[in-house]
Amino acid sequence: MSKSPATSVLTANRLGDGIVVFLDFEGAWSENLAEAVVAHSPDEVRALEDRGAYDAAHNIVVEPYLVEVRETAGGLVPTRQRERVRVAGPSILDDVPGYVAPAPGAVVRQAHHGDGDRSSEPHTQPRPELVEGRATPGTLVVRQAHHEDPERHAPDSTQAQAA
Amino acid sequence: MYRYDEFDAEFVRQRIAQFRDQVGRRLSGELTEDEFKPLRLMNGVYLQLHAYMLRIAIPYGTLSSRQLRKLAHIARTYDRGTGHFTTRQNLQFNWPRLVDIPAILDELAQVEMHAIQTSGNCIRNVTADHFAGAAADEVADPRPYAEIIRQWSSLHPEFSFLPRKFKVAVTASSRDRAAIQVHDIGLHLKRLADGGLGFAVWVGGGQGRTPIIAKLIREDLPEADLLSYLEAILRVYNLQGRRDNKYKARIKILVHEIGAAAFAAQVEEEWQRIRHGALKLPEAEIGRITAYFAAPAFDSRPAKAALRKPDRAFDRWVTRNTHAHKQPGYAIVTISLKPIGGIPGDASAAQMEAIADLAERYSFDEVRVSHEQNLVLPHVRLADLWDVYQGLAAIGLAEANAGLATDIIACPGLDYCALANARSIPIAQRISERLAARQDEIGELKIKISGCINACGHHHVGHIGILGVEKRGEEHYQLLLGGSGAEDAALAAITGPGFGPDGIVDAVAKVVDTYLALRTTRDEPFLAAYGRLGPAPFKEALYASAA
Repeated sequence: MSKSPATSVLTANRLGDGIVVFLDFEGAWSENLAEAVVAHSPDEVRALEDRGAYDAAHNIVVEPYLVEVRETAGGLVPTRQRERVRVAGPSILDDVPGYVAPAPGAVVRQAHHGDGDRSSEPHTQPRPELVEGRATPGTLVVRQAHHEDPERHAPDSTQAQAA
Repeated sequence: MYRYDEFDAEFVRQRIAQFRDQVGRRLSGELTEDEFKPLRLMNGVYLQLHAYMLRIAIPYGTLSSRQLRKLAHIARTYDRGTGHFTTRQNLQFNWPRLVDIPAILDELAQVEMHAIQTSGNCIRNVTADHFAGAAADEVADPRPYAEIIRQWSSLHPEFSFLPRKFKVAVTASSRDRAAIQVHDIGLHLKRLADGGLGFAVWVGGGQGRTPIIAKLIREDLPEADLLSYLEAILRVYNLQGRRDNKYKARIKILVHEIGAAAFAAQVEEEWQRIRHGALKLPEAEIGRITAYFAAPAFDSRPAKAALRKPDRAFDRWVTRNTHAHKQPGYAIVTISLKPIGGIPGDASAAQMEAIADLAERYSFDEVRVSHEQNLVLPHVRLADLWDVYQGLAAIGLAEANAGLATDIIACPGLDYCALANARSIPIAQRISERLAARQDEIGELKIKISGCINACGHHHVGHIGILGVEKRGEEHYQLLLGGSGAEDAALAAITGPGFGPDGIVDAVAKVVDTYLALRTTRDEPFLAAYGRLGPAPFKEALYASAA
């Protein structure tokens, strides 16, 4: 993953349909930035990274990365224009000829559900926990389940040869 | 048109079966993203900013009505109702779901289409003059050679993992409508001194972060030697092209670093070794492929219908959007996908179906895609132009602006592309709106916009080029002037400091104002005026007040 900005949310694309999602405070992936959990400290940022790596390795999402945000009265706002466009969607949809917006809730489900493990491989680590603290949408304190785990930065290493 | 033979059909069928299995294994978790990514890319599936994107190959930009209807069906069934025609004569769907892509590929195969080699470090879709087979100024139809190259390069085992992607363009006219000098290989089909057909071969052109005009390394390659010579070029590149740095991996860097003469000498050496081998093109095989591209059964006594109608808009459209056809009584029609303020290259499913109907009825079932993101009806009777015009007007695509200031090339930019730094489409829309009222007065003017340094919007060869960059997290735009992607290929030069999203539209307007004020006559094109005047008066207009 890239550098860890101080005030961050975790984003990715959903594996099945590629739609942009954000990790929410319940540990699910939401299409709504307003529901994203915000990490303020290096430990919280690291926990988000862990969760992203884990969920990517377990085929829930693709290419997770941190997005730096500002917390404003109107909600979370990414600091980079690129991420603002990514959150809002193409700025020109009203002008796209024949554009048909997807039906609300049209979510692609994976073959497996449950605790987020979509892998046919046996997993060797639990999904990093997101627990307690200021557990309201937009904020979160995380406690890392394996903070001292030396393999923390490579949760997908057991999956890498699985083709 | 070319029709798949048994080999074509079988390899596409096998490839779909393989990819269906790979998608299934990816969704089940058997394949990681790192393992799957190169597989999906080789099948045209990207992960873009908001969703997956599927890029579909349209070889040499030629479509049948049936194929265009199928694209419309896919847009409506699997995407969000729209397709986007690109600067490589391809079509992109911006919202396909990964789970649906095997089904989409099945649908494409039904009409002899696929997405193979639309990404990856391989030989990509071969592009060609969009007026091929119809233009009055061509020596022969270049598409049979493009098709021969397609067959040779498809799944070529030696060239499936090149140092970097590789693009080939073919034209057969002295008026280069295929931008061959900014391709890895550009082929100019011409009549040789002995009366036979052959090629001028340009190598090492390209845009991106290091724009370079191609070098002419052979002026008189006999058509029978086409494949052996291409194979020799690819072999030299495959062996010597840099693999340690993707930004220096294109053939243009190799040609530039060792010099065109040295590169040509190495190609010659390899070519002499292989030229009389299996790649020698038999005359009969050239004839067999050429037969697929035989001219349609033109009306031998075309009506000399009066083109004029009591309709000024129609007159403008005929003037701007039709081109001389080799067959008397016929015209080539450019369907502008650039309505004023619209999105360059976008077409709805309904528009695609309507155009397919028009092609079936009025253009011998053929449609072309141009690298300028327009569509073309290549064979329209003059007597039918009024009906075609009305059909296009009914779907909002009768803008009479081919080659004018509102006929803007723009990449998808930051609205869709994961690589982009700035939006391209809204800038194109605002410029289109700003210049629409004056576009006839301005005359031919090619504005090209890229949202990042990769230059998919061809900004390096725009008469006016715009490059989107990111500056402190915000969109910023550099302005370039004086480029050309035609036979007078030239790279545009940056004017100076860049502009914000609003400022760049004003800047383009100032450049146009300056040109209009300083051109010697109404007939002096922008490029000629820029060549005569140099950048100074344009920079003065752009920056003087800020000094």
